[in-house]
Amino acid sequence: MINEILFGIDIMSFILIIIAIFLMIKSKKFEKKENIKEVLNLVLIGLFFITIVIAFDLSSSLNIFESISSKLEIIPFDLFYLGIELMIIPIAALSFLVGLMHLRESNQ
Amino acid sequence: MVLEVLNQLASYQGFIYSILFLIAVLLWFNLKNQGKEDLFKLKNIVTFSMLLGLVFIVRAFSFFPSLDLVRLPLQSSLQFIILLGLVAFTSREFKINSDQRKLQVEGLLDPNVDNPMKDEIDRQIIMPEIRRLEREKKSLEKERTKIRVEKKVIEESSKKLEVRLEKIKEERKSFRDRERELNKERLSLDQKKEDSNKQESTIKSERRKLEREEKNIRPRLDSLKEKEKNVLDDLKQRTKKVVNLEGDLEDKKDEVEDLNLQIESEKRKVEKSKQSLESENKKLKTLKESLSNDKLFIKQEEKRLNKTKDKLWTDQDRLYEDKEVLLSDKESFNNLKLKLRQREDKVISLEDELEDKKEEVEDLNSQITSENKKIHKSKQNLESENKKIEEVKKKLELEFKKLDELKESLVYGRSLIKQEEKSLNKSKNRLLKDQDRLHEDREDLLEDKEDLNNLKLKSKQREDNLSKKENEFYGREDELEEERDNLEKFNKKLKKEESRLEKESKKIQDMRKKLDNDRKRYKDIDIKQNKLNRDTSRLDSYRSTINKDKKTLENEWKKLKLKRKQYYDRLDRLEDREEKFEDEREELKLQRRKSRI
Repeated sequence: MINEILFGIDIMSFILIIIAIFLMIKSKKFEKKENIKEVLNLVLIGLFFITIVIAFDLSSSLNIFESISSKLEIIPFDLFYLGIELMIIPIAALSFLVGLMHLRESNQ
Repeated sequence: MVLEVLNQLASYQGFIYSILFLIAVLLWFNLKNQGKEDLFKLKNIVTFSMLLGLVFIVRAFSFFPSLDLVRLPLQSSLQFIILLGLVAFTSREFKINSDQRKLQVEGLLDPNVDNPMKDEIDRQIIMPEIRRLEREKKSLEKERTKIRVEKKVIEESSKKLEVRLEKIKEERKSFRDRERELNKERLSLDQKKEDSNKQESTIKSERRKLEREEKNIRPRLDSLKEKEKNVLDDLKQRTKKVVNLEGDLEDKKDEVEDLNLQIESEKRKVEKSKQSLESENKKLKTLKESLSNDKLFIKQEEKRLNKTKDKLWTDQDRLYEDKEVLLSDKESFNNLKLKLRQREDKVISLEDELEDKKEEVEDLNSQITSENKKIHKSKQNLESENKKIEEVKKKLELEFKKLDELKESLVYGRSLIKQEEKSLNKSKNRLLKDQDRLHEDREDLLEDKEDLNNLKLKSKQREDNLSKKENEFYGREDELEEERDNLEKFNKKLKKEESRLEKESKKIQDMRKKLDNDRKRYKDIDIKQNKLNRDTSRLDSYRSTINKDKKTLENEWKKLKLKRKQYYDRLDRLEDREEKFEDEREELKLQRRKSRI
């Protein structure tokens, strides 16, 4: 039951992050300064990677990739998942960090 | 093995990216505390997106499977709340920003609102665009005029080319015609040559013939001349005889004419006597007829009388009785008888007279017959004489005919001679003419030869000129074709340019239409702006009240911030305590494990 509720919450959060990205892209034009636009772009990149991570969490809960990987007999899903976790989440974090550093440098 | 290594790596990396997120969050809040968040319009969005790092910090604790029961719901709920907040703030800020932008834009479009941006936009954007459009317009008009001029030039050049082509075609035709004429002239000259040669040969042959004929005709001519002389002598003699005969004939003719006149006078007399006799005869005939009528009457009366006598004799017995009555009748009858006798006497006398007259007529008739006989005789004599005259006439006529024939033969001979002379003269003339002609033909031929040579030279020159002109013409044709191709290409280009310009003009027209629409919109917007001004005045009043409320709210907000800080401090303390408590727990767990071991 808890798992199902969590799954529902995850789906909702996935939808919400997509809406948020869409709105961010839309409202990005209100910013006039280029530096801030760059920062926002980096934030958007981070959010995009976070959406990918959320999507993989959802797929793991649905066992989609596991079934596909078992059928096709390619790389096991755990490895794939771990690889994504190893690669994508740090990239998202780094994009946030870089954006903020850029903002700091530009303001200084 | 690989999985285990990767799991270990992931567990370690969880801490790394959680640290990275933490740094990011701290950095952001540090920037916020420094007061540089005002640079951002979308600051709340960034804060919420930074707060997403907390989710991954919680996620980093995944290598504690015992905490999964708490971690997973906490992670997902945190994620959901942060994302919800993110979406709410992004939508709110999007709305606020879009409204602000709308207001700015409306303020820009409103002519009543004095906005410095407007003038700048007008100066920097609209005016240059208008100038650019005007320039484009002018350039388009110039291009149009150029195109029109070029069109005209092209049309004129095309017309000129057509005229040239037509001229060239005509020249071609004329050249061909000249060539044909020259060929014809050549052929005609060749034929003339042949004809002149033939004529020369025929003239020569005719000359020979004429010479032969002259030789043949000369003795004939001599004999004809002798014959002429003889005939002329005979004619002279005969004419003399004829003249004498004609004199005799004329005398005889005069006598005959006198006789004829006498005969005619006698004839007239006879005819007159005849006419008188005929009139008397007619009278006699009328008398005879009257006498015959009387005789018939008498006979009828005699018959009637005989009948009456018979009747009388038959009626004598009756009459004797009426004698006395009849005596008177007798007397009347006697009278009648007397009358009849008198009449009979008269008739007898008349008969006698008639008989006398008959005798006279018979005498006259006899005289007439005698005279007629005489006339007959004279007529016969005349006729014989006439016959003689006629015979003489016939003879004369025959002689005349002979003379005429001779004359005709002479005339014919003369005409023949004349004809022959004429033919000879003609032939001589012909020969002379032919000689002249031959001379002329020779001269003409020589001239023709010279002309031919000249013509040949001219034709060669013409041929050369023609070949040159042909070459030039072909060159011109090639040039013209090239020019045509170039012109066609240029035409196509012009058409393309025209179509492009037309498209551009359409675009400009569309732009104009848009501008008109925009003007209309501006007008509408002006109206709206007025409304908005009214609303803004209202809003300003509201704003003043709201600012007041804002100030009170900001004071409250500052108070709340202080409370928040206190709360966060408390939370930090609690977290420290929790951490201490967890450390103690872990220590206790380790101690328990160690004690178990």
